[in-house]
Amino acid sequence: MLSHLTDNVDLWIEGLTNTVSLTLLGVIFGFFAALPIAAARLSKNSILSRIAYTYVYLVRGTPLLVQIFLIYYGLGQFHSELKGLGLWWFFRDAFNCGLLAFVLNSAAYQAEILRGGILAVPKGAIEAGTALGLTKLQVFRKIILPITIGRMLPAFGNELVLLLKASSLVSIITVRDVMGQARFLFAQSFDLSVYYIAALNYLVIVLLIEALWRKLEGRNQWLHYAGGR
Amino acid sequence: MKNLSGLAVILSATIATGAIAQDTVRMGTEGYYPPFNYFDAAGKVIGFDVDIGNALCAEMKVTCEWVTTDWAGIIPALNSNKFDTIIASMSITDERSEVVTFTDPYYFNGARFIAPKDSGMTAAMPADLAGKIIGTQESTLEVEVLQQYFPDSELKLYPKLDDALLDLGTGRVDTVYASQFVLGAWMAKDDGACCGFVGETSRSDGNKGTGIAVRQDDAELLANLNTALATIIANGTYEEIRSKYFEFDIMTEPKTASELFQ
Amino acid sequence: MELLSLLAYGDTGWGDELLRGLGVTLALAFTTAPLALLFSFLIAWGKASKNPVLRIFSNGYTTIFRSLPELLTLIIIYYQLQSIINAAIHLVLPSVSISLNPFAAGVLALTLVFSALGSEVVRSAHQAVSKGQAEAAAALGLNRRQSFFKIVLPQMWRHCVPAFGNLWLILLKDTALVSIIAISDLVRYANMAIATTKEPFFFYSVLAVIFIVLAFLSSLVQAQIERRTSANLQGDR
Repeated sequence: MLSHLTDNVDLWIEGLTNTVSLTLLGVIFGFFAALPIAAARLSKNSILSRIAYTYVYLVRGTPLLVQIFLIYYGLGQFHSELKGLGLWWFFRDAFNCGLLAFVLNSAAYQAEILRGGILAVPKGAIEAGTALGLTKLQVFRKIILPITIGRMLPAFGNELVLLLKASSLVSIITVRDVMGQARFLFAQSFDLSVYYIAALNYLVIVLLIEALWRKLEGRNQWLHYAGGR
Repeated sequence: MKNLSGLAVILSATIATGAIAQDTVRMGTEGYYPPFNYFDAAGKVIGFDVDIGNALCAEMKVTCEWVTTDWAGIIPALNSNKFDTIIASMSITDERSEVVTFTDPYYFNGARFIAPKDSGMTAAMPADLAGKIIGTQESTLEVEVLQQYFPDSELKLYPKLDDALLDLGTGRVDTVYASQFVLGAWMAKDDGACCGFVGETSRSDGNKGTGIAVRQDDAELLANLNTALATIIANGTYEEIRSKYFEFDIMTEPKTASELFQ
Repeated sequence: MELLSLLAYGDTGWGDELLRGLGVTLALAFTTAPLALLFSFLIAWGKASKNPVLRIFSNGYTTIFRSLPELLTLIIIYYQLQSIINAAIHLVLPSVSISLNPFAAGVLALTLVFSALGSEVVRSAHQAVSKGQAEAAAALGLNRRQSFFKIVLPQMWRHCVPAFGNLWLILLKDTALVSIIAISDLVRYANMAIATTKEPFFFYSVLAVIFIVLAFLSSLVQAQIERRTSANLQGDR
C-alpha cells in the first residue's frame, strides 16, 4: 500500500495543494460574500431580506454536486455568450468553477451562522454602545463582531470541515485534488489502498483543523459574553 | 429474527456457483460509448457490444442479462461478482490481464484526435499539440498513450467520454483523443458537425485488441465465449452485426502509438 | 418552450426516466433514515458506555465517518465490503459468491455516515435532558430501561427533531452522490438525458427544482413533528 504513496508523492502533494487551496479560498471568500447576505437577511427592507432568504433556501436545498454541474456544464453551454461578455476565461477553468460553486455554497451557510450569531448578541450591549455615542458601524465592529466571532467559532470550524469534505466533488469535473488523484491512481492499479491513502489525507487534515480550532476557542474564551440571557 | 430477514434482503443477490453452468449470464457494460454501448430513449442499453453479446448468448444457449456500471469501477465490479462478463469495448492489455482474463479480440479499436474544424489544427503529433489541452476519458488506454507520448500537453480526464465532448464544444479542451468509431459516430450527429479528425489512427502499444473480460477463475465461461465468438464470425452473424453499425472493416489492426508518435 | 417537451412522459421525453430516478432517490433516503436513526442511538449509547473498548470504538467510528468525504466513503464501502463478504463466505462455502447489490451498498454507506452524525445529535439531546429526570425516575423505583424509554427518551425528541430534520435534508442531497458509482438515481438519469440532448443547464435546473420541492415538503413535515414533540414543554426547566 505504501508504494502507492511513495511512488507518487508529487501527485499526492498536487492533490493536497488543490484540496487545501479550494477549501481555504472557498471558506474565506465565502465569508466575505456571506457578510452582505447576512446583512440583507437582517435588514428591515423586506425585499432585500426576502431575496437573501430565497438565495439561502435555494443553495441549502440543492445538492452541491448539482450546483457544481450547473456551473461547470450548465454555464458551459453558454460559452459563446460568456465569451462575448469577456468572462469565459474564468469559467473555462475547472478549478475556478469548483471554487465559485464552493464560495456561493459556503456564503449561504456562513450567512446563516452570522445571522444566528448577531441575533444572539444581547440587546443591552448594543444599546450601551449607542448610549456611549458609537456610530452603527463602530457598534458593529467593536461590540457585535468580537462577541459573535467568539461565539460562532465552533460553527465556522464545522463549516471548514464540511467544505473540506465537499471539495472532493471537484474530482468529478477533472480537478486533480486528493480525491482526483485517488481516482487516477486507482484506474492504473485497481488497488483499493489508494483510496485508503486518500482517506488518511482527509482524516489528518480534519484532525489538524479540530486541534487548531480547540486552540482558537481556548484563546477566545473571554469573548464569550458573560452577561445574562 | 428481524435482523436475519433484513440481512437477507440486504444481500439480495445472485448466489453464483462458478463451476455449475448458468442459464443466465450477466453482461456488464457502461452505456456511455455509442455506437458500442449506449442507452435508448427507454433507458435500455443497446449498441454493437450489446448485439455481439446477445448473439454470443444465443450461440451458447443462455440468457443474457445486461447490467450497467461506471467505467472506472467496471473491473472491480466484475471481480466482486456483480456480473459475469465485461462487454464494453475494453482493450486487452497485459496490466488488465493480470486481474481479469480476456477472450479473443472481437474487433480492433483505434484512437484518433478530433478538433473543431475552425481550430486550424492540421496535425496531431506531439510537437503540434505541445501546450494544448487534450481531453479523454479516465481509466482508458488513451490516458497512458497521452502520458507517454504527449508530455508537453495538458491532460483533462473525465468520468465519461460525453463530458469530454461537452467540453470540446465549449472550448475547455482543444482536442479529444478517443476511439475513432465513437468519435466518428458522434460527429455524424448534429452537434458533432463542428469537428473533424486530425491525424492518423493509432492504438496504445499494449493494446492487443478489444476483448470480453471474465473473472480469472471462470475458465468454462471463457471457453464457451471463445467458441461462440469463432462460430458467429464463421457463420456470418458477426458480419451482419458489424455492417449494421459500420460500413468499414473493424478487424484490421491500426498502427501502434510507438510507431506513430515516436 | 420546446425545452419543456423534453420532460414528456413516454419514449419522446425524459419525464418518466426522471420520475424513475426520483423513486430510487427517495427509496434510498427512506431506507437509510430509519437504519441511521437506530444506529445513531446505538453508537451514542456506546459512547456513554462504561466499557472503554465500546467507548473507543464508538468515538473512533464517529470521527472516521464524520471526517471523510461521503463520496470517498461510498466508493470504499462499495468495493471493500464486497471483498470482505466474498472472503468471509469463501471461508465457509468456497464455491459460492454473494453479490452485494449497489442499492444495498449505497444504503449501507449512507447509514454508516449518517449514524456517525446522528450519534452526536443523540448525545447532545441526552445531555440536554436534565439529570434530575433520570434521578427522579430512579427514586420512583423505575429500572434503567424503563427510566430511559418512558422518561428520558420522550424528552429527548424535542431536542433531536430539529437536528435530525437537518440531517434528513443533508441525506436527501447526499443520495445524489450514488450516481457516481452505479446506482440509477435521479442524477444518473439526468446525465443520460444530457448525453442525448446536450442540454445540461436545463436538466440540472430541473434537478435543482425537484430537490427544492423535496426540501420544502420535508420542512412542512418537520414543522408538524416539532409541533407535536414540543407540546408538553411546560414541565421541564
